[in-house]
Amino acid sequence: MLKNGRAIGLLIGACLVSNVVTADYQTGGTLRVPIINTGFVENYNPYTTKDLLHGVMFEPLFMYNNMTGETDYRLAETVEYSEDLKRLTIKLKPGLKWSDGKALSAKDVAFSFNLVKSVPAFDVKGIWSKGQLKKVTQLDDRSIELELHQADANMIWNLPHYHILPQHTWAGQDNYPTFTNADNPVGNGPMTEVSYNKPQQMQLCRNPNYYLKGLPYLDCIQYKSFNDNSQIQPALMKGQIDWGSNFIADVEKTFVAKDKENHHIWYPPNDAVHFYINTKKKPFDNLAVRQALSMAIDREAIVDIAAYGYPTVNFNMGGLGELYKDSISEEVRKEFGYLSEYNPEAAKALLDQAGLIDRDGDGVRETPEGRPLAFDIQVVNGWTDWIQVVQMAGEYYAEIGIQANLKTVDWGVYDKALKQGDYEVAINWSLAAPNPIKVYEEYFASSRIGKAFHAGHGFHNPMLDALIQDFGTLRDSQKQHDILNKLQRVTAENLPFIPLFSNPTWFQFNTSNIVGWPSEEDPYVHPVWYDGGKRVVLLNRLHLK
Amino acid sequence: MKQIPIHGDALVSPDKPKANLIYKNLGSKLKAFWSFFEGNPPALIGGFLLTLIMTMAVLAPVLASHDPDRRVARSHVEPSAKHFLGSTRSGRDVYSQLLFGAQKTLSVALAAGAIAVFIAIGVGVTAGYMGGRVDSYLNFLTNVFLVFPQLPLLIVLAAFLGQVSSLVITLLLGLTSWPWVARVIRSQTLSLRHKEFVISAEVMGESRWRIILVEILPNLVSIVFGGFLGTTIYAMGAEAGLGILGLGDSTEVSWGSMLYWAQTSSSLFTGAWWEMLAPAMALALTGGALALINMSIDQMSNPKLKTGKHMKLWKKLKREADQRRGLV
Amino acid sequence: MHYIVRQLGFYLTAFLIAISFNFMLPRLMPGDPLDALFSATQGRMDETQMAAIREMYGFMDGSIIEQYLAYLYSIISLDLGPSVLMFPVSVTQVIGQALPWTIFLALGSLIVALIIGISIGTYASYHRSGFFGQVVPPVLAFISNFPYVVTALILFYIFGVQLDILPISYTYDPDLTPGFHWDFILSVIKHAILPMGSMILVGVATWVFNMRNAMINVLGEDYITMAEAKGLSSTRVMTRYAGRNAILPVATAIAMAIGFSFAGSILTEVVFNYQGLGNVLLKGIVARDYPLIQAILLILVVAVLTANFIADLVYVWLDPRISK
Repeated sequence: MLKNGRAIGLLIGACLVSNVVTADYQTGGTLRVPIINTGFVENYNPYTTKDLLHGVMFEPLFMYNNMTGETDYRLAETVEYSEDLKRLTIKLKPGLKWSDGKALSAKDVAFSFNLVKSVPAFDVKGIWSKGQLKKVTQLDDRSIELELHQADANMIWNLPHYHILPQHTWAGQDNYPTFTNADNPVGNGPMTEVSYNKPQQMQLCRNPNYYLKGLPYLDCIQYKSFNDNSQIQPALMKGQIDWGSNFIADVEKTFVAKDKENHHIWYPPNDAVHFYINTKKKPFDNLAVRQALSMAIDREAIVDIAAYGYPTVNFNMGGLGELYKDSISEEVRKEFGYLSEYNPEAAKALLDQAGLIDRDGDGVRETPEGRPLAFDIQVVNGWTDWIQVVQMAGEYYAEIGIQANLKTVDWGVYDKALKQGDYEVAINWSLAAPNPIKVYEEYFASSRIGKAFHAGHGFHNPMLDALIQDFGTLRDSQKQHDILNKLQRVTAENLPFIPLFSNPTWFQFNTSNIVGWPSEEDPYVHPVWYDGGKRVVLLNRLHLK
Repeated sequence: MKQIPIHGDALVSPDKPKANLIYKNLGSKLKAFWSFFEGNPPALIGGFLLTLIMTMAVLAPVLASHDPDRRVARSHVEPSAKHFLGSTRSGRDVYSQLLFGAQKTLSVALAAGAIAVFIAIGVGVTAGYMGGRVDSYLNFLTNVFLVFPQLPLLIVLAAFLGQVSSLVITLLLGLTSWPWVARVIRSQTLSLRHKEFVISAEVMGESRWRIILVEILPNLVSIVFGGFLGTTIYAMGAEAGLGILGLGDSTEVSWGSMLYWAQTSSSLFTGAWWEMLAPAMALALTGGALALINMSIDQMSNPKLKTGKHMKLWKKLKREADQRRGLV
Repeated sequence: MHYIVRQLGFYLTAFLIAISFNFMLPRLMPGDPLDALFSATQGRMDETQMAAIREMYGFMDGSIIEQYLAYLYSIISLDLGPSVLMFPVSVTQVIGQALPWTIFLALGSLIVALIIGISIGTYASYHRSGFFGQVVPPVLAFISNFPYVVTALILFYIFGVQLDILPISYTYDPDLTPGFHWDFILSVIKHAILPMGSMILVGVATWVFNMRNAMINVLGEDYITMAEAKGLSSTRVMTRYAGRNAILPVATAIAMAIGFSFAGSILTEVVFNYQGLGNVLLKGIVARDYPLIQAILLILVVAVLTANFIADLVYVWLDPRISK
């Protein structure tokens, strides 16, 4: 079904026409999704409603589809860099309209980018405050030009995070941060019309002037407010929700088994999770210790038992997970794969060689100075799946004579500790970005030390900075590829963190009423609810059964 | 907290002087102890349950079949001969966790109760006996603590403190739940202060300390003990509440943290009811048992409330009443 | 009159202490509400952006005294600023949405528990040697001393999961439009049964015992004997003579109970995903939404203080000797 429509936006971009009619599905139906919050309020400002309206009421300019590896142009027809990578030209599709029927032009786009300059709180990716963007110029009715301070090939990935807002209803507000856009909100996404807004539930319905003719197939999207995952579970079981994006305990038994015909899950890998190690503290400054820590744990068992088997085991020591499978270096994977295999004997041997032996016979090894090999692994209080992962890892470490204590801390403490590198070992995620270079920037760029969660391990050097810097100035994808390979090699050689597994993308769906879902067989998009770009692709594919 | 002190002194019965009762010989103490249970089914049931639970907690290392902190089974194994109460989501033995959890939960609750009662005795007796300025200051302090919403305050404090170990919870509970006991003790001390035996002791020149320790405290025993049980019940409930909200230390094994893990693994929805219901029933039985004993103590301090041995008592009262009415 | 003025003075002082404590609390604790928010952006914000957002959420710098004065002013003017969690919605608005449900839950269950408790207490005291008087009070004492959470969970499991006959989340069916029509009212009642039921189970014994004890004290009085001697029916003696007098001390205990009832509703609301203050409080705590947490604690303090003051007034009215 609809195989040709793999990326509708692309198709349209190629044809340069906006009124493409796609497959003939019956229109109608309401998509019901859970939202974890304390209740809905009359606020339709996309910058102060978390991601609630992104890709629903407000369409992104374009999105990068990591499943197909292609860029899906949405409001934009093209986005192009100048030769020197210092200018970006955005060209809109012809004939775009706001949901109230007024024309959507380059003026609105320029207004939107200039607005975030004057309201720094809306500058979600810091394009202005970090000094990337210099000036926004409207070229004609459909084109604007973004002038950059310096050549930056990565800048483009920030653009989809900004909302294109209607100048005719947004201009002239006194206080944008508190502006709720509640009187007759106007949007450009597939669902713009507010049919009701109650504390427990709200509903948005189709945009009468949506730029893709005949879309969306669905009439409305309904948000239901829930307290937490454990409340969503019964709602899913009873078929009160069509699309779940939450951790559900024993999902096969509690959800899929209730209605095998209609209840489905698909958990593709998302960001990679590692044990970050502070390489500046003894004995972690010793590479052998880090390697031993990696080889002492049975990743498959941990994933299976502590995490219900949902995550994907990560055997890549180079710092990338399956999310970036196209960028993973085969060579590095093979050469360093042995470090990811469960091999307690080898781990013990490494520690013995490093002079870490159990001298007093208490079952815990000591350093040559006589300090026991004991450390804390930090987790945030309440993050139960990770707590269980750390508990299990602790059991494995005990077997090779290392005492690893689980230390659950408050978020505020954890946040500071990770940024400032104030930990011995901590479990944390890595970045999920369109381009893997962003992940390495978070790991290694010296400018990120003290600011990023993932740079606190203490392994940094000018060579890494240079590699990351160069990447942004290159137009040649082969050269970019080489840089990524090199970064993976350096990571695997030095192991400043121990890759464990890739987080799953939580995705449960119910086909009793609505079909057209992405799945393992038809992975047309990565089903991440929290990503407006991916969400809008999905919203335009779902239809009544 | 179940025992809401009625405003003023209404509930505190003007007790008859029983000075030095406690210091009589051992034999009569045992007799008094027995008479507390005799013909009093609630006290018997409560006492039996509590003894059983305490014994199991104390003997946890002997009775437990597994290490409560280790993965010893596959996840969510049903109750069987090997795992009497099944296993948790993470493969811990529920029965063994229940036993060790009892140690933690009961020690938190009892210690919090003890702390609260010690503060309450200090504040209540001082205020009641000294009177005047001291009384009005202490009474003010008590009232301020009394009108603070305790549980929300606890929740907020626990949340702000981050990982709250059982020790911190014990202290928090102990330091916040003394006022109502103090209030009752103060009222009782006030009324005792004007009894002849206290006044005569004063006239005889006994020291204040001696009067407080020898004349007053023995007469507060039942109130103090009742207050202790009430606070203990409250502390146990609060520990469980904080636990299930995820505000306690989830890495310690207590009934509260067991509830928390059962909740996070959605055990009620996955059909693993044992993970949730085992600690829940343990909490329920302990709370109930303590309450039954507390109720009986109430009756002891105010014999009018007595319902046990009762047919006899009732017949006696009835006969007296009838005689007064001239019906016999 | 002197007594009332004195009590009023006490409550004002207590209120001041409470709000000052409320002010200090978050400032003594580790963590910053905005840290939690920034975490959502995976740490990709720099200092200037953070400062901008701090300002947007109304976190002002300045000395602690300036902050305290601003805080006092915000309380007096009832303008508690925006909630961090639900920005840009004001704290007042968030609370306005949740408070009615908590009042409904707390007062509703209190009233039902009172009615049931006082009836059982009266009956049990009058028939204290009968089967009812012997068995019911201990059984109630047993059940109602289950921790709040446990009672709620057991009801949740039996009626919400196993039998699946009562709703286990929300305050009403979200598909309905609120208003004065039967569907809505029925839905509200249905959704309140389990949370209220668990609070009633816990609360009812308090009243049984308060009433029973008060009744037993009264039953020994001469005027009861007199009434019985006059040959009045036992029902009449029980309700009109003994009950009326016994209820006086019970009435004043109700004030305290209001505070406990609000507190109890926190846990109940969380278990049953009931959209009241307790639910909001917990969310606020997780998000370190200080303005919201402070406001909720403040409301609870005010509720308890007011209830106590009313109790004092009632007490004076019932027993004029006190005011001298």
